[in-house]
Amino acid sequence: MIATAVLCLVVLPLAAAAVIWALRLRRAAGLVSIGLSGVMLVAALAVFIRVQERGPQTAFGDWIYIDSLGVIVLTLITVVGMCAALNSQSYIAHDVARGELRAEDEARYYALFLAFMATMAAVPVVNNLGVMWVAIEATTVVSVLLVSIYRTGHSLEAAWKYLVLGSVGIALALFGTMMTYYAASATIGESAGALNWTELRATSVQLDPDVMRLAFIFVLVGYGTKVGLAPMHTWLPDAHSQAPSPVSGLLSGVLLNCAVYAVLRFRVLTMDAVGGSYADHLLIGFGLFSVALAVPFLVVQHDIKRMLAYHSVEHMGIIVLAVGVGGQVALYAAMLHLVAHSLTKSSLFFAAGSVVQAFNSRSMHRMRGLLRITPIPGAALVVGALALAGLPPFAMFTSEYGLVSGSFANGRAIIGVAGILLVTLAAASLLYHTITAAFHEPRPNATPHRTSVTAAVSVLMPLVLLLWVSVAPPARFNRALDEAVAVLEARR
Amino acid sequence: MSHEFASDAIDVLSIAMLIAALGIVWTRSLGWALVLFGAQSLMLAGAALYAGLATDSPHIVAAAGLTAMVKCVATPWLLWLLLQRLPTSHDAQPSLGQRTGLVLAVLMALVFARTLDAQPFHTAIGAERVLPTAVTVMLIGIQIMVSHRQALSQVIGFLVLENGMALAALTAAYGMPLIVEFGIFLDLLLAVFVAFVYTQRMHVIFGSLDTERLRSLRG
Repeated sequence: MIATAVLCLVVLPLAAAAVIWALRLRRAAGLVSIGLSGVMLVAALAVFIRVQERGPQTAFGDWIYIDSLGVIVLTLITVVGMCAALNSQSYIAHDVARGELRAEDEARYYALFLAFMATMAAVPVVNNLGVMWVAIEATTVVSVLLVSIYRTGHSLEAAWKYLVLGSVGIALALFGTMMTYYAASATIGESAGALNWTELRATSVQLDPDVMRLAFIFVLVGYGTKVGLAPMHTWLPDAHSQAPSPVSGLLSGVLLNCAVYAVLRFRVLTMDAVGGSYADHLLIGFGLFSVALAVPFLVVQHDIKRMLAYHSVEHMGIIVLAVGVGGQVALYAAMLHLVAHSLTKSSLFFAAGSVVQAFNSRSMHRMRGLLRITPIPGAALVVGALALAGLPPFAMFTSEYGLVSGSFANGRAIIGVAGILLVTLAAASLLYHTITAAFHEPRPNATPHRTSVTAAVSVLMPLVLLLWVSVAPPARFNRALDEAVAVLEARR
Repeated sequence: MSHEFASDAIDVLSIAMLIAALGIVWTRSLGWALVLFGAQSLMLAGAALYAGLATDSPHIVAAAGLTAMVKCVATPWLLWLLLQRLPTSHDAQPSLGQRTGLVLAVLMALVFARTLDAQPFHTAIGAERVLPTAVTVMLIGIQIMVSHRQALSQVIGFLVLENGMALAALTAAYGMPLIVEFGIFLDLLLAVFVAFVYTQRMHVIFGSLDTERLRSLRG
């Protein structure tokens, strides 16, 4: 069953992408992408239930290995992917009608979209950390092409920076992976299996600590570039803001998770091998620096998509910070924050896409009367902003509270205090910008804008799910987070 | 083939790779930079061949073949094609002077050769000797990327970084498992292809390959 699910998640969308590209399908391509996203969602949910009921699953020899950490990342990819596919329909049709995209770009868009989904879905299901690297690099190559789908100077600039910085980052991550392989070949022996998570984890306490120390720095800086950790984050606001909005939602909502996931795997190995707080100190440093660096940019930002992108830098910083603080409470908070950020940020980017198309501007100063001109995306923006600001009852309140209380419990009070201050500043600026836009009187000649059903569903569905896991989390959800935390706990 | 012989040969080849990297820092001609990169890749393939023969591992020999095909032939050829197609200047446009750039790179090489502690990496084919050279080649690749405004020079810098890393992987861990090697080469080729497409588009939109034009997104 796991084998079939993996085929549906990785091979099927790649094959469909090839067919769409070859036949230059246009309207049909949109429907195919919705259908396949649905198939991927069902497959991921089936895997989720199977893993929860029977523990970690393997398939295709031991090439595929899915545990509770991977399954959370995988499920988020498919949920957000489904919404992005729905959102793409009217968004892309609008841009083609206005001539911003060429008609033949529609086929390219959907082909790349499906290929992007497939490469992301491959990341949390493979066992071999080398193969995982290949999948993450593949996400870069595919998503770079999506960022540059508008043939303008700006999108080319964003894509070039993303390609160059992303490639260098990922090359450093490969160097770290290679060192891990060196350390492992001493204990496991030289074989492809020496990079398998299952074997590495079984022997992780015997890995050479000196080598793993060096390996972790390279992995953290390398994959950290993809996570958008400061100071390697400079490509992120450009790429996330220049991409078509459905893709921005995917880039920010779930691609960043894939990179965090890779860092988490190596963190566990490094902690087992090195012991103590070596990895955690590095994570705290990068996390805190990212949050601190993002805040001033948030305060002055008027471009709605760039603002959301800087919020991604901030929230990835929070997640990495929480992981670095460590301990059961903070790790739980990190996982919860990861889920909440995916759902909130994807909805916000989808809503921002509709709003930008309605106002024909990205500046929040021009979006006066947001709630009257674009009622559904406007309302989603306001609710999403409240959630992202970490107000109760939304899950980010719980997770940020968990981060702070975890840091106090672990004797790292100063980190908690710094975290509270920075997060409050970021939240205040976000609420200020959104509320000003939402409750101003609209311009006199502005007319209300219709939102298509698919677009409305795509912005509301993540928020409904967010509210569900925030207010009345189902038992399965809590259990999944608990089990993911158990995977993250080190042996030393 | 004895391990000592292979280890000496790889050591010599790694120094030659370093010299090729310095040559790329020095030259102002993109054509020469491509030739030097191709030569560097050939030395890398040679080092892989020695390592494979000395340790009797067919997968390293296969990786040497892949290196020769992808990095020695396909990539330089693709970039050469691009140079021919674009009616642009073949000047590499370094933002550092020739001498400053070279002095910086040589200093970096000396510092690393003296200070990098490669003792934890010990292998039969002499990783502890080659590793500092490999890391220096990686750093020179990064230097080439940041000190050139020309888009193609940046791509070449990235490829030099890749070569340095492959050398490190080869000597420290006898290369990666073959399936991972395959994936790496595939991704590398795709990335170079995307850069190929973008440089052409850059030329259409801006009329040059100067990345100084790519500075309008800020804040």
